[in-house]
Amino acid sequence: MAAARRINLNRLFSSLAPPSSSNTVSKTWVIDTAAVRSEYSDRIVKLATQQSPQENQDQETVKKQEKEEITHQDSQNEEEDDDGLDLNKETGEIGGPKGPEPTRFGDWERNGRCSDF
Amino acid sequence: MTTSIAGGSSNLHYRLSFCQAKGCGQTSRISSLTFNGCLRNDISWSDGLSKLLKFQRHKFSRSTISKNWKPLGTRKVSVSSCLRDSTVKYFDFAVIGSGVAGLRYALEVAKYGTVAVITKAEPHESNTNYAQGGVSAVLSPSDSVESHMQDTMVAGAYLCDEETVRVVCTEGPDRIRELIAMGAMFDHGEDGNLHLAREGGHSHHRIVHAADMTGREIERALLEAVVNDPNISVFEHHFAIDLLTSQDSPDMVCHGVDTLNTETQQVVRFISKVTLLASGGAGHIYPSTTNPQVATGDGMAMAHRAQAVISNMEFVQFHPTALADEGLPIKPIIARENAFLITEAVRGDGGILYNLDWERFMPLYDERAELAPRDVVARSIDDQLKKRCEKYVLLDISHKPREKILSHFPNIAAECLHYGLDITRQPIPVVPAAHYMCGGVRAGLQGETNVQGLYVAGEVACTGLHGANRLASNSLLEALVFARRAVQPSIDHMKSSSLDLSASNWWARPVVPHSLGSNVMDDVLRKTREVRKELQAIMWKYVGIVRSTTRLETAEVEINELEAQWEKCLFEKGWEQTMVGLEACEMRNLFCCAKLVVSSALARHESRGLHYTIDFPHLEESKRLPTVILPSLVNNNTWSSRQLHKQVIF
Repeated sequence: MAAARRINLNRLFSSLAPPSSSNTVSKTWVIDTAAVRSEYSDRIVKLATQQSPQENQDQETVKKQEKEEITHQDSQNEEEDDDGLDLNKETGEIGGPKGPEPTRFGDWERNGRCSDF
Repeated sequence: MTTSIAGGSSNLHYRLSFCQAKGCGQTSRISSLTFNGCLRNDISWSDGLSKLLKFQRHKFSRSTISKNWKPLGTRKVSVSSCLRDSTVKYFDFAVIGSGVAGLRYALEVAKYGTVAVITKAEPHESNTNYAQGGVSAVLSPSDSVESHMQDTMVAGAYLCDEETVRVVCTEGPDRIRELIAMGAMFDHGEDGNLHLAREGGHSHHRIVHAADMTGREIERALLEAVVNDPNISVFEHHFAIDLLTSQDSPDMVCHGVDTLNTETQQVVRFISKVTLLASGGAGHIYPSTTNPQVATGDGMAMAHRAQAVISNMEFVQFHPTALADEGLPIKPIIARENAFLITEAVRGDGGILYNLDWERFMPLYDERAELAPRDVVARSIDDQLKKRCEKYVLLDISHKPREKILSHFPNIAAECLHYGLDITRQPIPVVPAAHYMCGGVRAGLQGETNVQGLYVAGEVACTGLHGANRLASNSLLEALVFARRAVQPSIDHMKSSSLDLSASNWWARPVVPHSLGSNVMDDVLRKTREVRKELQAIMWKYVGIVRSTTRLETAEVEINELEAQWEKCLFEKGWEQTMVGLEACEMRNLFCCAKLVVSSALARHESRGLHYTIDFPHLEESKRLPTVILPSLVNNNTWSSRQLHKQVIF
């Protein structure tokens, strides 16, 4: 499943290489999401920086979504805040967005909405 | 006065494609002159162009100049900011635009003189504020400038200016550190270092970000510093109308800008020694765009009218799958301000694209189907829509487990449900949206233009960084680097300039149309809004993602006709040449930018990066050159193509 997904990602990004008619070296690369996660979880946790104002905005956004009729599982990610550092265990980031890495499919997305690509 | 420019572009030949004006009504030309394969290292972008312009000027007569024009005075009068009267203001530096480029520049030059930051809405209302992703820079020991450069050049389909790319990738890290020192709070990792994400196209982790609102955070930090700086005055709700320029042979010189205070309906003329254009993008030439309402290409249009050189306007970046309001069961009452982009992740997770006959069309275009690269998907969707004359296609994820959909894409689910669509059961209507303009006002390595005293930075500029396609997160970086680079030449120019206090009388004043009365104004407004929609429809229909010579030529004709029809309507109602209003001025800018995009697209006889045309569907190595639009030196015959103060009075 992971291998298939990695292959799919390969396909998604491989055409960033220039077409063969160009006179430059073709280049392909892969985002290995599994490696990204393990890289961060292996690091020793140091003292966090102060809680950023973005965290408050993030919480407001999350509260707003909870008011909608749809239930979702984002609240699951909030439980990762278990040692007061507001650490996102999936990405190794402190004070950042909850949930999976926003760039895991190449673009920058949050909860499905893309803002950069 | 010439600005000395170090270094040059050693990689880019100087051959420009020429498109002679056909019939009347064509107001811009693209010059075709070979520089004998000139790769002299002492010619930079702008140097080469100013030489070209001198050659051009000898051949053609000049356009009509206002009778008030005088040569630049030699009397030295040192003037700091002083309020002469309520409609003229004097500053050392005028900055048009309050995004990251404008504010970053303002903070630096404010150490040397007085600064006016002119912004057409609230200061935070800019494309910067909507840049939620991040800013790219080499900040990890395992990363390298060469790698960032390579990624940029690959993404740009090798149309980037190598020297520009090197400069931006090299200076980026320092610009980030400065932002942090100014108070911007970026996210950190467990090790206490900056958390660096990795976006599509980047071969290393190098995206610095603040949660998912990097642009807003940078904007916040810069605005706070600007507000606290005693030398900077911010003029909100001041819409820039036209640059104030004069001919100081052989150069064009910029002396400031006319603006309209849209709250008080008063014209305010800014006289400044140096002007920075940082006015952002032009997404609203298309009906569907991620850009906020302010992005109507004002800076590109003003610069073109002021005889600045424009480059690479054909490279418009679209996102393939924005939520299509037309396809929602409950239509939004108020038109959405900026498009809601559906992430690649939906396709990555198994979403399938269908046309309105429920045919899965992607396999027709690419064996990778929905997992083909974004550019291929964008072209395919565009092709389907144009062939079938439809307004949107369908992205269906409903075959996936409901819980998975809701957990991965709660934002999409909520937004759609708000308008009566359940994405766990129904397909999502999507249409491509315009997102970023890679082209713009041609800038040298110091942000200088061919107009003396006029500098550019940010999306309005074409610096050579993006080439034929922008790499993710490089736009904020470009803005930061060029805003900083424009500082020293600006200071030098400012110090050697003298401000003639009578300068404010050299140009005819714009006039607010009080005399027309509210009924006429309502008519003008209504007509202008209709015409804007028609222009956007023409652009989307004929100048979309998949182009052809026939469609582009049709666009040219239809845009010219629409422009003539609109102007005729205005003048028949009593609108005068020097009258200004927000919507009318935005409309003339949109016309200008639309024509620049069409002309540029017609001039490129190959497909490269974002520009794809079925008549020239392949890359041509010999065409790996920037598209350049030189100022038109024949009389322009539309209201939209002349500076307001150079209108021909009948």
